[in-house]
Amino acid sequence: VTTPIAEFLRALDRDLRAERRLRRARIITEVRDHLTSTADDLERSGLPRVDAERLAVERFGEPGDIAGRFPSRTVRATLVESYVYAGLLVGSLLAAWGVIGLVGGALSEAVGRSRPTPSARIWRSCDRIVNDECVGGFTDHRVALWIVSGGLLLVGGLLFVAVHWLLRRRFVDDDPGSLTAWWFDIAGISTFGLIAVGLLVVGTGQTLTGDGTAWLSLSLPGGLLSLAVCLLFVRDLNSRSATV
Amino acid sequence: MGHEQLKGNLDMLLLAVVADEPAHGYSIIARVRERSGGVFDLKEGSVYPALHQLESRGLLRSSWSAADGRRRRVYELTRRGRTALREQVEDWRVYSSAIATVTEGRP
Repeated sequence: VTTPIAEFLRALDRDLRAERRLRRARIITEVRDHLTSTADDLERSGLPRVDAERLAVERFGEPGDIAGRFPSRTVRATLVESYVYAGLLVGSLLAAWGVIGLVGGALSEAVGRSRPTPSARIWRSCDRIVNDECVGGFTDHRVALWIVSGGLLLVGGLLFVAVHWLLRRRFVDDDPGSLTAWWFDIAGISTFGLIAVGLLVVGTGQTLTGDGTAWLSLSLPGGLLSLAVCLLFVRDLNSRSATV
Repeated sequence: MGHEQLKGNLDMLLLAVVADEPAHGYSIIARVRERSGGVFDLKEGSVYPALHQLESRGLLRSSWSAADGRRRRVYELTRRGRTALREQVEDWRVYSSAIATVTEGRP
């Protein structure tokens, strides 16, 4: 059913086309709340609902005029957010690398580059359980790579989410219903996954499956997925209202 | 008061009514109208862009809240906003006093 408020909001949405999706949604939600509140008050004063809505819309003004008054998102705001995002990513990665470094002996031991450390011994126990008792026959360092990659992904991702949570009020749309904030986390964690696995492969000179083709088939879908998530994130980045 | 005069002071009025307690757009407009005894009847459609502008300048911050099954954007003053409000009120006092001095012919 088309009501005066619904018609007005459709027109405003059309005139706000230059704005990105989430920012437009915020404006529409705010205006809808305002018009509904005005119409409710007018209805309580005795006006029929349709007339109350019509009057509320009239008082509000012309959609085209209003749409043009909203401030544009500044390039500076976009840049600052991008830098914060990149900084968080790199900072969390380094911090995660440090944390994982505490148990890094496991990796060194796995590729035979250093003496066994307590953590390496722990890993060897894990490896024995996984390889000898559960999987069987899978006896090289690949499991260690997966364990350390998973650790990096987990610790780095958690750090990233924690810092993001602390800064979200300032830099990210804090709408709990918005996917934007979650794109931020998902993009960060996905990037972590790729970087972590990439570093480990480069660092050890080994592929995860011992076979280049298999590695490619494994990494390609992951890379494409990560790229898609990052693109969606970047698209949404511009839709947030500027807070700087 | 004319819309042009009101427009020049809209930021100060919005900051002033939000200074007491956080509020959403509809109640901000109602408070301005109420406190001014109906003299300042803001053009409703101009208030939201002004609030967004103040937020983008870091003078206000906002968050969603839910009331009566509806989502509302609630605005509150930031520290920078409080400082800006103090300065604007002081400027206004100087300005209005000067106007009064000139128009009333006081020395």
